[in-house]
Amino acid sequence: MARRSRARSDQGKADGSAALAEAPPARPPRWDEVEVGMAIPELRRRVTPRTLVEFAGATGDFFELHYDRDAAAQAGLPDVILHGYLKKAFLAEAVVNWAGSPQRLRSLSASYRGVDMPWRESAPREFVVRGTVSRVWEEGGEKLVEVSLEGCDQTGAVTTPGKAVVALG
Amino acid sequence: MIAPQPSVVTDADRALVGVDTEPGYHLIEAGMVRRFCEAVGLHDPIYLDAAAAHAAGYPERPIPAGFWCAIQVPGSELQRPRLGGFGTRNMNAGTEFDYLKPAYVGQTLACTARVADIRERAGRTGPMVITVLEYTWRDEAGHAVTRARLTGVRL
Repeated sequence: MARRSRARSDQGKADGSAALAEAPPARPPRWDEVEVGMAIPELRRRVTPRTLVEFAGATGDFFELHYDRDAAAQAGLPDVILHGYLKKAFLAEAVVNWAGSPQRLRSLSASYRGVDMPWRESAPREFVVRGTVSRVWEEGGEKLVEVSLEGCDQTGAVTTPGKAVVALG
Repeated sequence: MIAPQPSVVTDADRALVGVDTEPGYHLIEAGMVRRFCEAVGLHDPIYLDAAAAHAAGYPERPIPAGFWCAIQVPGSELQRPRLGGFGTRNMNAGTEFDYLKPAYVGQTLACTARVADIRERAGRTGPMVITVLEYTWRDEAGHAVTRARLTGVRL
C-alpha cells in the first residue's frame, strides 16, 4: 500500500492539531463588488484526535463518539467523529476570514448530515470548507450577502452544508 | 403499514413549548475563549489579546462566532427545559445562530432557553422525536445578543 502523507506546507503546531496556514484576505470585499456565484477562499483543517479532546474540554461536550474508538465501533463507525460544533466553527471561520470581521456575521446555520473523521497517519483526512455567494441584497439599511457553505470530507463529499449572511460595507 | 404506536412525548413535554426557562448568567471569561480558540486553531489576536483588539478598532476582544457552544458547559448556570427521557441517543442535526448585537469578553450575559418545537415521527428503528430548542443570550441592558436554534433527533 502506498502510504502517502499529504505533504502540505504545514506551518501549524508540531502536534498536528493546528491549522494549516492561510493567507489572510488582502482586504475585505466591498458589497458592490460581490456577485452571485463568486467563491470565497477555501479553508482546510487537519483535525487530529488531540483536536477533538481539546474541543471536548473547551466546550464540555464529552459524548464518547468524539474520543473513544470503542464507542465509535459499537455505533458502527470506523473511527471517532468530529463534533458538529467544531465543524460549524470552521464554517464560521471561513466566512469571517473572507468578510474581514466577526461582527459582519449576521447569521450562520449548519446541518450535520454526514460524519467526518480525524486525520490519522494511516488515513490522512482533512475537513474542507468551500463557499459561494448565493444572494446579494439590501435590507433594513444593511448591505447583505448570503454565502452557501459546504463542509466536506477528504473525498469532497458534503457532510455539513450551511448558510451564512454577512453585512458588508 | 406500521400500526400507530403510543406517543412517547408526554403532555408535560408539550406543555414546555414556548415557555422560557429562568435566566442563567454567564460571564464570558477570557480563558474560556482562549481555550476554545486553541482547540479550533483560531489564531487571530483580536480574540486573544485586548491590545490587538483595540488596535483593530474593537472596544474589547470580540467573541468568536463559533464560541457560543462553549458557554453551555456542564456546571454552567444555564437552565435547560426538562424534557422527558425518551430515546437512548440524542443527535445534533443542525444549528442556526442569529448574531443580533456584538458581544465581548468580560460581559455577563443572561441566557434563557425554550422548547420551540417538538415533533414525533416513525423512524426505521422505532419512534423518533425531533426537538427544536431555542436559546437567547441578552446583555446587561436586556438586549438580545445572540439567538440559537438547535435541532436534536432522539432515537
